[in-house]
Amino acid sequence: MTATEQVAPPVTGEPIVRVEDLTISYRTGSYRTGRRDVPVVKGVSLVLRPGRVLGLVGESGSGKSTLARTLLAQLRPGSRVVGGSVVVDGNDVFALTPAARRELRGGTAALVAQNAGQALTPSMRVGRQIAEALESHGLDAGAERVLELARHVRLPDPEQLVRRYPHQLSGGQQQRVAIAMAIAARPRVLVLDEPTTALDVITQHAILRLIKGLADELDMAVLLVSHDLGVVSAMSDETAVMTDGRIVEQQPARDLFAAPRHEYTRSLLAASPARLRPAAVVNEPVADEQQEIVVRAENLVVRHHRSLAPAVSDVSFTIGAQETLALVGESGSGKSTIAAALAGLVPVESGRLDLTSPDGASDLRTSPTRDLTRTATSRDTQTLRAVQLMFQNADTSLNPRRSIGSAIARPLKRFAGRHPRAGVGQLLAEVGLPPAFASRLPAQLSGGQRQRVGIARALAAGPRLIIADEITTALDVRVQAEVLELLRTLKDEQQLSCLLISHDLAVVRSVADRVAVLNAGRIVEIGTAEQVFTGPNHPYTRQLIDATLEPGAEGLDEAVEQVAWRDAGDGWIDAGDGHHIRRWEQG
Amino acid sequence: MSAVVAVGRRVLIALLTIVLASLFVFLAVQALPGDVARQLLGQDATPEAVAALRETLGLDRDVWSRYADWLLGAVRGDFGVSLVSGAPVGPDLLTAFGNSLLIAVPAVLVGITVALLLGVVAGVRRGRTADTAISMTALVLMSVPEFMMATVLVLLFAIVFPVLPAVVLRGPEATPVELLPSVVLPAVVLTLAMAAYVVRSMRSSTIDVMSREFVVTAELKGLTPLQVVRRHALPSALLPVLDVVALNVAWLLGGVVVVENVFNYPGMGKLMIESVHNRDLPMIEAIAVVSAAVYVLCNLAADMTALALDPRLRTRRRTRSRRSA
Amino acid sequence: MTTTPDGRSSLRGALGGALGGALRGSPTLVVGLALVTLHVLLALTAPWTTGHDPVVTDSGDVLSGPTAAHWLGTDQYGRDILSRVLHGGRYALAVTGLATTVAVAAGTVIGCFTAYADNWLDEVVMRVMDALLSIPTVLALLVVVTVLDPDLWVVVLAITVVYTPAVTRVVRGAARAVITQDYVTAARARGERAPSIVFREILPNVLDVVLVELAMRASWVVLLVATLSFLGFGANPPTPDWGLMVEENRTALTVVPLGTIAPVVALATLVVGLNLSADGLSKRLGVDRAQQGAAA
Repeated sequence: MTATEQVAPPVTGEPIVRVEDLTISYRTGSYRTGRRDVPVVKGVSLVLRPGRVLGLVGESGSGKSTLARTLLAQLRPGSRVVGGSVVVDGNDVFALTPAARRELRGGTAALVAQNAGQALTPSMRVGRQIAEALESHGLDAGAERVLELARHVRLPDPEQLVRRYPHQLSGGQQQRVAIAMAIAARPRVLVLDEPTTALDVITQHAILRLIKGLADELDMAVLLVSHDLGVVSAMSDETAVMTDGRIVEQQPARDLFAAPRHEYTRSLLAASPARLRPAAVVNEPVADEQQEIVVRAENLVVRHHRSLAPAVSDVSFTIGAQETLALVGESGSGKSTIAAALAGLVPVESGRLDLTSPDGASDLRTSPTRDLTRTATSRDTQTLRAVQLMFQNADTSLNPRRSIGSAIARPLKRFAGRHPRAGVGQLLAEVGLPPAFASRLPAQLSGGQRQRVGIARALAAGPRLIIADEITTALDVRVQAEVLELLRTLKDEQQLSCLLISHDLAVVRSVADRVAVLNAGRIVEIGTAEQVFTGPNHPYTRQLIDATLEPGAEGLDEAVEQVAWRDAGDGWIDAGDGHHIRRWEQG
Repeated sequence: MSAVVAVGRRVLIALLTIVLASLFVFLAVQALPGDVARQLLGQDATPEAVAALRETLGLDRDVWSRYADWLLGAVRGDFGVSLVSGAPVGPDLLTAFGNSLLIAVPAVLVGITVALLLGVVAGVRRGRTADTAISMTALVLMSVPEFMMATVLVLLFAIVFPVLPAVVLRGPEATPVELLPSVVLPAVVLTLAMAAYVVRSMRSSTIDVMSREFVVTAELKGLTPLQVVRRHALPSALLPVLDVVALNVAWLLGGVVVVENVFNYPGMGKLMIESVHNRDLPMIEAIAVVSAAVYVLCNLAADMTALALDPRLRTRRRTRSRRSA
Repeated sequence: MTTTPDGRSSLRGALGGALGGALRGSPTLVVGLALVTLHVLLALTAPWTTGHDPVVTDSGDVLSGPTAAHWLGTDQYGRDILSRVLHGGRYALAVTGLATTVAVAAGTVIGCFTAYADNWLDEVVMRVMDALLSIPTVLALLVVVTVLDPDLWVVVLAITVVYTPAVTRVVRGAARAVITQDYVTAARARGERAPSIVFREILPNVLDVVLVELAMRASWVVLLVATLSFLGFGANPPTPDWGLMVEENRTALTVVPLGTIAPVVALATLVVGLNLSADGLSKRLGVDRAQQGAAA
């Protein structure tokens, strides 16, 4: 840990940015319903100093992004400054001439946005885009200078890379290009708007370390906007908490995370999922040793297309009755493919995938096991019923043109044979929503409420196994905590098994009984949550755990990215009690 | 390698489309009422004479074998003999097609250029005076039928201010030079009618792209508005408009029917109407093939332009090295 | 095809919701629909409001200017122009209403099913549709109308044949976007059958596109019907029809300008009304109409 080096130097240096009593409103409504000005930023003041990082946290809709972008004199269409001022390097940014504003943008202050995949122009080579950032401020934009910048942000093989188009780069590389563009003209202020939200945890770690290094090296004042308490905690010298357009608390980062003063900050911190280490929550392992198996996968191989490498290869696992198995891994590791195969949405190439009936259970009369390698169209009703899906994105998981009631009534009618009307009300109550919601459309619900409806719809079928695919990823931290708690309660009450898919180890830590770690379509480690989070581990698992940033984290550990390993044949290391680690060697 | 396969596939599909189109027209024209042989010989002809002619024309065989014969001929460039004039279809059609191109090509070149430009201006200046003026004009032009536009232009420039010839008095044998003065008015009508759709499409696409994250990034890099639009917004904004342009160019062939009719211009549209009137199957069939070919070529050209504009379409996604971030 | 009562009511609910929502606060849509409604009312009441039979000739009163008896004057056969314009709307609206509805309905169903099938059937249907699209509209219409006699039903059939492929392409595109949504995945995971997925999940979510398509196609059909008549392949004389009126009267344009101008103004206001409706709908429903035209 580099924490000791981070003792804040005494506040020196004149502020380069001064935001004073800034109020911004957004015009909404039509001319018929009457236009209304809705304030989105309400009387906010802050200062940025060279070489210092100010972290700005808040939930979606808190106004943090609107505030951050005013430093570059950018307002969304329909927004306007109602009062206050933003002064960057001595100039009021909203009083600048167009030419002076262009000088400010990229010259004095630069922005790195959330999704570099969308922030880079698709039709232009990345080298050209970096050169443009130099040209527009009258700097030398020769090939050598562009390469120098590419090396500066540690892009691999820069000579080749600058000639590529954005879509040919990985997400991390795209973000490095965006950073190179931002620092091209040596700005004094760097605004980071959720710079790593779209990235995997290990990539995030590397990008954050790069940003931190550049900020120190170039003595930039940094404003880091994020919803992620861990990121802000690890990065910022000072942290401000924003909600409903106001900054409610601002303190040195360490003090804020150790002793939050404002009630809202405390509620945010309390809602963060359990810490990875030390074990905060011990999930009671299911007591019965002779545990009954619900799903058994053996040497599963799934391929999306004949010409592609398998998305999932040689995967074996079991899910016991009432057990939650978590699949973790980076995007593209195959975890969602396994979920799709279980739900019968993609064909299985080889291997076995069985659903086992409980002893003497009436709903699976004919045979004790059901073949889940069949796709949904060829499964019988009882098999379809037994496996239910929940989705990541609450926006697209419910049909926007059908009422909540009819979304829940459909599986009730199809599978449970219950009278839909009574059943809908009961299910809504179970997920903590009033029965009157049955007549509403999804658009009239918040993201968290929609996710509850998704849970109700899955439960309506009366399943044995529920698959929760990143169901809290799109939610704010406090809503996420509520939804996870609800899921846990219902799962226990109704004695369900659960396959939980998440890239967020903290979430996994708080709900999973057992964990399987996936890398490139293969399981590299599987064991109980306790075993996996305490180790010994596969190096990849260790890397994932170490790269995860938790609230209260200070600084970034550079060892995280320097892990090298390769598979050593097919063997497994048995670490005891069902904890298996794929054999590996240094490489 | 995959690019070659993709282009090859496109070309095959294009050919298939033309063949299918010719088949549909062939079958439809077969169903035309009236006996061509009797019509050619007149009502007084003896049944024997009619039967003899039917045999010469091959009308006594079944539809499919006649279509197969026609297709084999067409592949070799032989589109048969006009039932009306008795002359080979090719040369007549070629002259008419050339005459149509004489009004269509200027209309396309001027129309597309101006329309794209106006569309971008309207899109960038959304909600301002320029946008309102451009959008309203486009709406009006879309709402007035071409035959009316043609009639009004004739009234204005040939009768009230007689500077241009109203209609072509020479027949199909007129040379392009003789036709030149009469080309202006038909071309203007085609330009106006077509431009309206392109303007609207370009405006809407520009508005969409101007709000995209990468355009905002370009603005925040400190580029001038002109640089932002030209380098960053335009390539992406043009992509969805290409299809509209292709369809409108192909549509011109339909549009010329009306315009050529009003101006009595000896092009393919006029030939089309005469052929349908006379049930001149070989001529109709040949016109259908030429039109389908133009449609298919326009779409191919749009696809190729899209390939040039969007690197995502022409380079295969490389395997990402996920841990090399 | 099994649509549950439940499914049907939700479809109607979605349609009503889409329209109701669209009407609120859109001056464009209100003006557009008002123009169209005005045309419909004038056409419906034409037999009682005009006072002249649109086809009765009067050789003693030809090519008159506006008079007390003939507000817009008479044409070369002495027929009342106003009466012919008002009656002309009946033909235009009947053909447009029928042809547009049938073409859009057919295209919507075919588009949704082929998009969902996404297999060889989709491929075959789209190839056929593409081939139909490659035949110029006017040529296809001329052939169909010549094959059968040009009465109202034949014109309706011809226009349906010509426009169904275009609608299919547009709706198929919209449906493909809907199919990637998780609620369709959820239905597939429930083992729902194709008709159920198409009618319950996909169709209600392409209705906004379909509504815009309806208004937009209608404006084109009005123009096409008039063009067909103008070329002599549509309504038979002496049927009062706008395209036919322009064709008959344009030689006398300098003598009786109203004979040409009146039907064109009628035609243009109807088309503007339909265009404004389409614009208003697309804006309110968030459908990109100009791009939708891309698949025309």
